[in-house]
Amino acid sequence: MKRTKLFGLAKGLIGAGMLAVAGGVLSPAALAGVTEGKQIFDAKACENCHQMTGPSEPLPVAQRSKIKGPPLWFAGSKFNEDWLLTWLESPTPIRRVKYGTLVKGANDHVALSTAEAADVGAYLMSLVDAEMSIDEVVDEPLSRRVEFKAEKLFTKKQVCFGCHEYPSSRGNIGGFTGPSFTTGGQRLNGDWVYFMLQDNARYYPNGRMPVYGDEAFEAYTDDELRLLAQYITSLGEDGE
Amino acid sequence: MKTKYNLAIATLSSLSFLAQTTPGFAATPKENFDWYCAQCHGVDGTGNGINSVDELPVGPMNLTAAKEMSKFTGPMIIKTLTHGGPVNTLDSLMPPWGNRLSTDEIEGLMNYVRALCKEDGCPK
Ligand code: HEC
Ligand code: HEC
Ligand code: HEC
Repeated sequence: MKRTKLFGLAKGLIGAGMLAVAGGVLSPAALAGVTEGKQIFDAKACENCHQMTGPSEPLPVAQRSKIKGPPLWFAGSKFNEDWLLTWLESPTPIRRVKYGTLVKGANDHVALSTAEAADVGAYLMSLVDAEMSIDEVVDEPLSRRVEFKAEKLFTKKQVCFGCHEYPSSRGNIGGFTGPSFTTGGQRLNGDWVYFMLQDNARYYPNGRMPVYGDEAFEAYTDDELRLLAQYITSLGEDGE
Repeated sequence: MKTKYNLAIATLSSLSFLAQTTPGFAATPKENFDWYCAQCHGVDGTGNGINSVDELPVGPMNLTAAKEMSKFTGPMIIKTLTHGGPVNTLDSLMPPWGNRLSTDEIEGLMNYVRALCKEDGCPK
């Protein structure tokens, strides 16, 4: 079971809204989670480190050290809800450098109580990138043969693992500057990865990743991008 | 300059200013190198960046070594920087930067890389 997901909450809200119209029944629980989550988010000053409006704006290189954490304005498009709730309660390192630096290490992160995590998670999952199309990438495990092909896209066609750690048959290997994909399957939504690979600068104009996705180099085909996204979001899933 | 002035003010306040700034401020070649290239090549260009781990297919090239750098003309370097290693039959671990950096920035980086190579036999 990978994603309950994404638009689960948005659908839930619409569902609740329709219920209200049809039967006069409100669903305060779903809505309250979002509102209270936003209050907790504000009270804990999470926005000091996380950009909450999009698309992300580019900053000159010299100013990027002012950015203290990854943007979250598209959190509901990017994350799997189950992973998010667990992580907010007990954060574990995702990146392998101190944020925004080239220094190996992890960032200590504020942890929330179970109740707070549920509300803040609901709020974050309500923040979707409306321009991202959904149901593009198949959410299924890859067969051995297709997985082999996909891994080549990740390690040879472009050397993604030069910056991203991933679980290979030789164990977890790879560079340090990109987020680790050892738990890519639990963490990331395939549609978002597919969209991000086509339009990286929309989310990360201030990152260190090359922008892939047009004729500046031997580009991936659309099918290959979908496969890459499916591959990354199957990494670290049960059975591997 | 007006843009710069606004920016200076903006950076004094919180992250919310991000939404108001305008794109397209030029970075110096050194700023670009330290941000994008040093992660593999190291700030000094010798190839000791933090992504340089044993399991990679090749090591990030030592850009200070005459032995390596005498193989590449300026136009070849520009081509590699723009389209990635494979256009010059190098490994695809050297990424394409043409979508991230402007042609001016890439030319600046070429000159910067050239200047990192100081030993005898380095191309001038
Ligand atoms: C001091 C700055 C700071 C504050 C305050 C902060 N964060 Fe973070 N946050 C970070 C950093 C740095 C990371 C990256 C951690 C990593 O990669 O291991 C992060 C990562 C995250 C992530 C995962 C995002 C991703 O792209 O991987 C979420 C979700 C998150 N924070 C939520 C919150 C919430 C909710 C709050 C408030 C309760 C909060 N943060 C407060 C700095 C901060
Ligand atoms: C030169 C280093 C580098 C290379 C090569 C690279 N990336 Fe990245 N990637 C990054 C960095 C750094 C980030 C984080 C962006 C940020 O925080 O601004 C990132 C972010 C990502 C993300 C979002 C992950 C998240 O949790 O936010 C995905 C997906 C991704 N990269 C996929 C790829 C794929 C696929 C390839 C190969 C085609 C690749 N990357 C090659 C450095 C790299
Ligand atoms: C993901 C790691 C990585 C990053 C990031 C990276 N390089 Fe490289 N670079 C390499 C590798 C590996 C080679 C050697 C490839 C080979 O030996 O086949 C190389 C080769 C080179 C060469 C020599 C080849 C030629 O044709 O001139 C130059 C110059 C160069 N890189 C400059 C840069 C610059 C400038 C940047 C930043 C914009 C950069 N590199 C970013 C890994 C990287």
